[in-house]
Amino acid sequence: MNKKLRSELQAALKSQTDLKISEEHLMQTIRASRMAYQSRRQRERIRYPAFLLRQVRFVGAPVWLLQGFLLLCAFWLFGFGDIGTVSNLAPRHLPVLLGCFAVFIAMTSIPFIGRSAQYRMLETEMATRISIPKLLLTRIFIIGIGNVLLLTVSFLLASTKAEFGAGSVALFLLLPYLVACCGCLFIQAYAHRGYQGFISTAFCFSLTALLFVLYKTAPMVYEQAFAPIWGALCTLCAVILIIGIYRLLDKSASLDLSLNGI
Amino acid sequence: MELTIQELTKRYKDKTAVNNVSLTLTPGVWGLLGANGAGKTTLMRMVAGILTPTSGKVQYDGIEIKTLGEAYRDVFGYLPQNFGFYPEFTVTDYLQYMASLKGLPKKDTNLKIDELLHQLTLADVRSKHIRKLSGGMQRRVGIAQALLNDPDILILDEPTSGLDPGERIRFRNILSEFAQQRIVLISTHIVSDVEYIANRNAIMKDGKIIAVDTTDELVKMMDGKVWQGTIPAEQLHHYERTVRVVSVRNEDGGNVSVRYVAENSSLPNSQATAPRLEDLYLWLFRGEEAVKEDVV
Repeated sequence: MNKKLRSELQAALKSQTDLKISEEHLMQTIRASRMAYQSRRQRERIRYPAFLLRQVRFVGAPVWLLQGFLLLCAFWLFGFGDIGTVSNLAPRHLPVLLGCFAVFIAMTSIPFIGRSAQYRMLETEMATRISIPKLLLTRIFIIGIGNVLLLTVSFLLASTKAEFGAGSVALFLLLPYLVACCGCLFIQAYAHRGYQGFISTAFCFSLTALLFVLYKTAPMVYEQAFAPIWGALCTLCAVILIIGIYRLLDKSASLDLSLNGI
Repeated sequence: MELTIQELTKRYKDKTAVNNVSLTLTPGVWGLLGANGAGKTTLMRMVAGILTPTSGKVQYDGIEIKTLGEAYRDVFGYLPQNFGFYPEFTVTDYLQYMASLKGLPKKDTNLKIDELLHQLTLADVRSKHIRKLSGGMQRRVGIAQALLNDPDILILDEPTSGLDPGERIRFRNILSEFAQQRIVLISTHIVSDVEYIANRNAIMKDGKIIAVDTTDELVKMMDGKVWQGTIPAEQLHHYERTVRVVSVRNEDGGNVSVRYVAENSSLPNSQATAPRLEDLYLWLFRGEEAVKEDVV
């Protein structure tokens, strides 16, 4: 039985303190309920894992194609090529390269998160069995799989080239990625509908520019001494991201709240 | 099967879109008539469960739809007034996508899609991109998605907008067949759409339901208020300022035949004539024109 319905019935029963339940009437009610249930048309419905797999075709294919292209870039940038031979880049530029690449990884989600509102599919999707919060979570999950893979491959490849430890490589990837994700989520929730994609893209490019400026003007932030600060900021951004996703899902359940959200 | 709307209200900062509406929907076709801004779409969105009411509730067979959750959306089909498509979708892609959102098993989906495409004469365009179809065809694709899960409750907001008369007749026939043992709620400006298929109609004005009855009983309200008179064409302009003109037809000899609604006969040689639902619409919504569609 539906959990909400069960708890409402239990609450209603508790409020009837002087109610005497007849076992015979209870059995009759149970029999009648079963008959009523069985007389309704049986509707076979797929479970969530089957739904998730079917969404791969609609959401996964295009976003994974984009992420696949980035994966090739990762191999080119951090893997097969000697990084010293790439233009004027040198191994000491790896931290800022990792940061910029992480921002581009986050950007792969921009075309896909706000699609429902952009293409006026929101109302139709909201009225279906799956519900918008679950659909949004599915999209985030599918995009997230690709992002996690990209981050992992970049980390592994860069760790073999880096002059600093694996921990630092992880931080140089994670913090810009999390900041980009938090920024895009905030923009998705509050920016004017129709401009979210543009503003998110502009924000991410600004972030990469900021990383370069930081590297040029204050290169010491990329040193080991600042690692605890990077770690703390990563943790803070991760918490903000989780709260942001939770609020986005919560807002998306009703049309008047969700018009910007998705 | 019963869908009960109880004292439903939706208030925004500057306006009350739906004001304490109560209605009980039983199996059959229900028409929801009203002018622009009457609150029809807001009401339908609340019944669809996608808009949170300020107060009141919607119950399906005695249980609030909020409590039913997925179970309600399972038996529900909805076509919004303004809907779109992802640009890369063909007709089949879109229906398969919607079928997956409705949780339909894959083996049933293809059969159902074929059936609906034939019923709505979309079989020839199944592989075409939706953005390349005409407005009427896009509307039929929208109707198809609403019917995918064989719903017990079907809510259609302006479903025939953009359809030509032949398509509207076909649509009416599909709906009439579908509505046996099901609840169908159609909101429309096109009075003739509900006049021929709706068992009962609810008329909405300024966020409130002002009348609920069968088409015949509603039309009876206009007994003695609908007139037909013939006047010289040059006098039409004068009378248009004094009576509510329903239709004008050119006659021989420079005259025009005027159908109008008024408490009493206002044109010379007028005769009372049998009222239609369209006359009631014009009588109730004096500031609005009903969409006059040819009766086919």
